[in-house]
Amino acid sequence: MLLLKTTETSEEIRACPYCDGTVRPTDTFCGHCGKELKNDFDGTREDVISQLTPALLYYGMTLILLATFKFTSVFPSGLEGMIGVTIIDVLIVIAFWARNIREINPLFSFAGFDLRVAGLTVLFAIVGSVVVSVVANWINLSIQDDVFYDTYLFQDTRNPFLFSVIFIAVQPAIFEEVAFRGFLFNNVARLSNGESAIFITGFIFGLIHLQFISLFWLVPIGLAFAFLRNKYNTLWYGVIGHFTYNFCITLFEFKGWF
Amino acid sequence: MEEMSSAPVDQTLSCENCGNLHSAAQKFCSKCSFPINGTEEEKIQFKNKIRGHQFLKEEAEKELKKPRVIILVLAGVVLLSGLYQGFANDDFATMIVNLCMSLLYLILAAWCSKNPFGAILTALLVYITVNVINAFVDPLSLFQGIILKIIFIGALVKGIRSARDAQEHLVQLQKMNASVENN
Repeated sequence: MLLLKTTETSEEIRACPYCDGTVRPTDTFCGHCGKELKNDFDGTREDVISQLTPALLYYGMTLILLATFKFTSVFPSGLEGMIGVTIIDVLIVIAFWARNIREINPLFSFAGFDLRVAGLTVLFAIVGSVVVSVVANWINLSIQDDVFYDTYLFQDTRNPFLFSVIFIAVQPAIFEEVAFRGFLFNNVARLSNGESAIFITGFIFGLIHLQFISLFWLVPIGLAFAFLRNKYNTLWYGVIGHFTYNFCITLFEFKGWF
Repeated sequence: MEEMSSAPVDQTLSCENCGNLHSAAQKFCSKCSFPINGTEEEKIQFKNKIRGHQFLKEEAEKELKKPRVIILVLAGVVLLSGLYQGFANDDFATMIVNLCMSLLYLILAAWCSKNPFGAILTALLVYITVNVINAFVDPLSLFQGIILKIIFIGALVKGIRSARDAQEHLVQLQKMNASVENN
């Protein structure tokens, strides 16, 4: 056993960045100078709040944008205002996406993609959308409230259903996932751990929709997508689940179900 | 023994601090940085380094009690103002919202002992969001109790720093194979 270990590890010998002594990839400290090889704590590290700045900046900008849209008349009412706010929202996400492109793009890899997990995600999203619709209807709340935009906004377009699906199902499934399960998740997970990142991004995903009652299902939905992101290290299940859920809500609204 | 010659290093010694195998040529353990071939003084320095991390971790953990109290105070304030709105002003919608918010802060305070970084950061974001929404609905509300708001936000920000510090010292202690006591 001892012998095997020695020959295995001796194959990949590297130089210590501090003293040039030989070290193995499995070493935590250099055996010659005693310095830490992967040093993430040296007493002079960046302040935690500065490291959280990207996450706080994205959240603050989006919060002010959506609150301005919802609570003030700065944006024109109806379709124009909705399209205007969506464009700004998407541009903010693209800016953060571009800044973190090396960390985000691998999350779109299909390596390890499991059709069974995807199937279960779709199934849970459909069941979830039905349950939420029934509950929302029971407490007399528009089921559209939690997806921020109402389908009635699109009634004068050439194809109301298609436009609704694009703005309500496709756009959030991509851009909200890249934001909440992408760079926000990475930012928090890097400073703490996966568990913290799941809870924080799950909560703020619910909060950003600025609809109090919806928190009861938006937070669990956010937690579920963040859990999938953490477990499988991919954004695909979140994108699929988010699209399915919002698509069903849109479909129910058009069909007048529930 | 003849097979041993294929290996460039001879790993027959084990570190007295963590038990990891090392060669006689090494000055420090490559797993825990213990000065294996060092003087007594160097070994004492290593132990002192561990004590330093332990002390700083405990100090950071002591600091974590304050944000927890702040979150509990927030739960209380939200609860009381909700009850006031409900019973004095017949505003039951606000009362229900406040009761739920109060419950959320209580859950976050409880979670604080398990995962302080996650709980305090979530509480801070919830608190800021509520204040931003209130400011949009009624701009003057931003200035109501502004000093208390600054104190709350300051304490939560400080709490996030302490939580991160405690976490980093814990990681460092684990790397140095020191026994870690959790409060």
